[in-house]
Amino acid sequence: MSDDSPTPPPPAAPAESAENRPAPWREWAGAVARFTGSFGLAVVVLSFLLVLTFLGTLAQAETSLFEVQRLYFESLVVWQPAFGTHVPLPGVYLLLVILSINILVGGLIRLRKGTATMGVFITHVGVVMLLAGGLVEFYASTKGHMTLYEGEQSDEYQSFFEWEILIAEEGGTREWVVPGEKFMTLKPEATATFDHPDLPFVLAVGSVKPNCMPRPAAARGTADSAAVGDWYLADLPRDLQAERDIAGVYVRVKDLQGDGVTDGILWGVQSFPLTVVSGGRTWALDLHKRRWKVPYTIRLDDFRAEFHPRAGGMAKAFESDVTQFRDGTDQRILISMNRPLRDGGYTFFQSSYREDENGKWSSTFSVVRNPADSVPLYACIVMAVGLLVHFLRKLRLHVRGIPRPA
Amino acid sequence: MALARRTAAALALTAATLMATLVAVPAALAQDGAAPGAAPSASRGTPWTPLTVEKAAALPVQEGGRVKPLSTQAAFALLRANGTRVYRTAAGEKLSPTHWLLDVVFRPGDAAKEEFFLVEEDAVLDAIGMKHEGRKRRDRYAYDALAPHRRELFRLATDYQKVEAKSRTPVQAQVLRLAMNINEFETLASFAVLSGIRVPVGKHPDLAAVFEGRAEVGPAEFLRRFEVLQAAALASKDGGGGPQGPAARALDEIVQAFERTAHSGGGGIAMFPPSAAEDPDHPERGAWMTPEELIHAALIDRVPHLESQLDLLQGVELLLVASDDPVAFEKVMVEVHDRAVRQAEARGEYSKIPMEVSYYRADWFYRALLCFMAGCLLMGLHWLLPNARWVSRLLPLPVVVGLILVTAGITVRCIIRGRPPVSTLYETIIFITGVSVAVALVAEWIHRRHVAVSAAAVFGAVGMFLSGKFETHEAVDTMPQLVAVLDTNFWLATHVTIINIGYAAGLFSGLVAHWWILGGILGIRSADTTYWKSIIRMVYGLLACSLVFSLVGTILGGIWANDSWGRFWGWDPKENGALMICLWQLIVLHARMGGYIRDRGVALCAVFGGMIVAFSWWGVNLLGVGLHSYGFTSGAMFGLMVFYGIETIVLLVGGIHGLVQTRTPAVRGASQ
Repeated sequence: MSDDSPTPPPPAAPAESAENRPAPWREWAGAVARFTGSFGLAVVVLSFLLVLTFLGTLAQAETSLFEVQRLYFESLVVWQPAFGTHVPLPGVYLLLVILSINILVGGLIRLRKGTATMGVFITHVGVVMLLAGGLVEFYASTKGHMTLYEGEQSDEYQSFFEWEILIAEEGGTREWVVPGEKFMTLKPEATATFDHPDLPFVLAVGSVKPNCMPRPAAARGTADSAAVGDWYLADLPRDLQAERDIAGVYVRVKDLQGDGVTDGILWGVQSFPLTVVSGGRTWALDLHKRRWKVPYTIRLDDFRAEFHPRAGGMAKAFESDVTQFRDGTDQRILISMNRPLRDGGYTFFQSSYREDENGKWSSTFSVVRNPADSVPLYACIVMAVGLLVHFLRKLRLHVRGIPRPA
Repeated sequence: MALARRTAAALALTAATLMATLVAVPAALAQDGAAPGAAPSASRGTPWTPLTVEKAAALPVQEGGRVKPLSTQAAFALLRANGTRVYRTAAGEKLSPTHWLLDVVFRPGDAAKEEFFLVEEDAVLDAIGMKHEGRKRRDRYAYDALAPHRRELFRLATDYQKVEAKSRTPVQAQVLRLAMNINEFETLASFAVLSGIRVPVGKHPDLAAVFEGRAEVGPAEFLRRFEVLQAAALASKDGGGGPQGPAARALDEIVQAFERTAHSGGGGIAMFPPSAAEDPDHPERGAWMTPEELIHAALIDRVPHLESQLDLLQGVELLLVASDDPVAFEKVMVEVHDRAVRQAEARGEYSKIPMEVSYYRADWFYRALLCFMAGCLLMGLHWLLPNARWVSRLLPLPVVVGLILVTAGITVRCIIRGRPPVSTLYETIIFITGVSVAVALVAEWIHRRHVAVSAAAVFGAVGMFLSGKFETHEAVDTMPQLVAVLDTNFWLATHVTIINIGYAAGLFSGLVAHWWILGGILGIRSADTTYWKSIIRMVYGLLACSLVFSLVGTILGGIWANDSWGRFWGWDPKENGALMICLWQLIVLHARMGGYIRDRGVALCAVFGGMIVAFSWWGVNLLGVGLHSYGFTSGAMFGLMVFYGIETIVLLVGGIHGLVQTRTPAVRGASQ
């Protein structure tokens, strides 16, 4: 383990003459490289990651995982409540960027290459692969679910958390979408407006409520200036399972030609869309979870749930027979726990099931499109090889050099 | 959401069960004339013969989704009620769980007088209005003493059931537990009630004629010939005969009375396999039946091919008849056992029953605990007599034997369950202990300093003790069926096993680091820098080993999650716990490589690493949130806090000692 001892400081360099001294920018670049690739930076970044992982874990007892991810693990800065105030901490997103640079510079580029460091190098390659896969997943993946009753079919899945406003003309075929990220993060008093050259109105969205319930205005104790007609949106506490939250917004549709103004409420699970007349045409507005198309259609043929006998309803297995329709062909496929369907860049996982009051079964599939789906597996193999190469070599040296007691 | 629905359904079911028991006091106990509040009595019936107990222990029954020996069901029922698997009667007699269960089922009146209901806090008795002067705060009580207060007990339990588990006070939790135990006792005591029923077929001579003129028959015989009875009732010429004739009406009355009685007991033990006709392709899917369910299946559902099950029911009737004569009882028990075994064998559900009986009889982990304790004793002797070579030579022996016993126990469990070594929280304890001891013996083989083997003895003893405490606290079958997502031996064998090896190495490095810290404080072998250098190398090696397994295990877990839940990483508490271990070990290794910490720093970091492993292993389970719900537990908070308290003190003392040493000449030279 002698080579595990702290690296002694390099011998002092001989005094350099002015003409031999590297250009100042090179010195600066060298200093930056030394800093960004240093053990010290690695230790600090890893320590912050540890602290944030701990805080984010504890926060889940009180806050939904979705919110915790947003606040701690996908942010640049975390404002951690402590001692009656909020302490700023670097967010995990920022830390992972710094860690990636640290590994690239210190663990790959500046690392002395040789048999002694081969395992470390391989391991760092694996970590970089894992981080790159995570980055691709963060920006390029979509996740949602498709719920089907037996006999039903669909070619789209919907997000667990993201909302969108869909605008469609009655009898028309085109649809306009206002993505949730444009209005769901608005402050309660803020309003955002949306327009499109093909739409005869401007849509103003405001008073966004992440979880709410429409209630008759007569039942309200206090005045609510945002109320529409006899209804208003009553705030509800955020659910620990954020996918259960039902959002609602107040909208105002203002004609571009003329003074026509229509106010309305959009609620996440309302039975019918809000209809408005503008430009002499009728338009439907609907707030719902974001949806994505898949390049084929899935039909649920049969769902089976098996339970352990005399075990209080503990599920032993649940599985779905589905038919996949694509380009005029069909194929029967079984999807069960730990046996997903992977096709066309999409993966269908058996997620849950439900029996409704009429005894009809529905099956829910998690649907994921992740271009970096297989990267973690390869990264794991690379890291395992790297760690084994490194530590087995260390062990061999250790056993050879060990002094035996007399 | 499915989980929430199941939980709500389970709560509703339990509440309904509790309420139902309020109105249906088991007839068995009442019939036996058990006087409420009666003082415990030492008078019991003649003990069951050893052969009776042996055969009863190996009876196949179904509980919790699997077929298991009756002795296992008895053991955990007794553990829940009594707090221990062995019961000592008022007369000082030591009873096995099977012996106890035979008493409960066939001599419920005697069992009701025995004090085996453990009440942890007498505040529970205050809550239900029961006087307890002269008794200890934590004491055991007889059913007969508790029975007058059961209405209040069950009323409170129904209320407390509605309180969220983690919000219940200790007294509320204990009230609930006592009510559950009373309910379970009553259900078990009612098992044979139906077998004691005499069906009055003599109500009409044409019905009696089917049974050779007998006025009464047992339920099994009645059910077996029910179709013949119906035909006889219809064919009767009395009063014009037919469906409205006196014979048919008499049969209707008998059936209705029988149905009413069938709801007043006959639960607790599911020892009757389902009819082979139910699902011939998958016989293992069928639910075994209690006497009540068998009667319902035969009489109401008219399930075909129940002849062999009714033969078994008749055996239970004969057992009840012979319950006062141990010799006759033994003879019938042997027949019942053989018949039950034949039926289970025919379904392919018996092969592992004898092995499970012997597994619990062998008590591998308790014996391992004794071995590790012997190791601790030798360790103490080694410190006291450092020059006694026989002690140092003998020291590894009990540790090796302990490891063999742990390995044997784990292996037998794997065979019984058909699973890899770790699939429940309980199994993590025994597996991590076993791996730690094995790793320690390898480290000892490399270093020969008697430190690793000493630490192994301590770790082994603590691990086996904790496994016993956990089993007692949870008091549920430690070989349960798995939820659907865990039903994959590949991932259980890879991810779960590997990450637990990482836990084991991390914990063990922390334990060895304690010796480095405390040894320095106590000035042990202070001049021997080679020795201490060797110890810290061992700590470092264990940390590296832990990193390899934790990292690979964590990523494999992510790959499994990607296959099951559709995402590699979801920041779930259990995932975060594993990540924290990896991060901490990376911090330590990088800090050492960068020269920010040296030997003392590595030792202190290893101790802190043990605290992080404990958080990942137990702490996150206490949060009660996340997708790893099958690992949730409660009641570990106190133990975890004690552990953290001790480790914090070790860290503080070790840190302060290091600071003091930097101001004075280093005692251990380079090692600082």
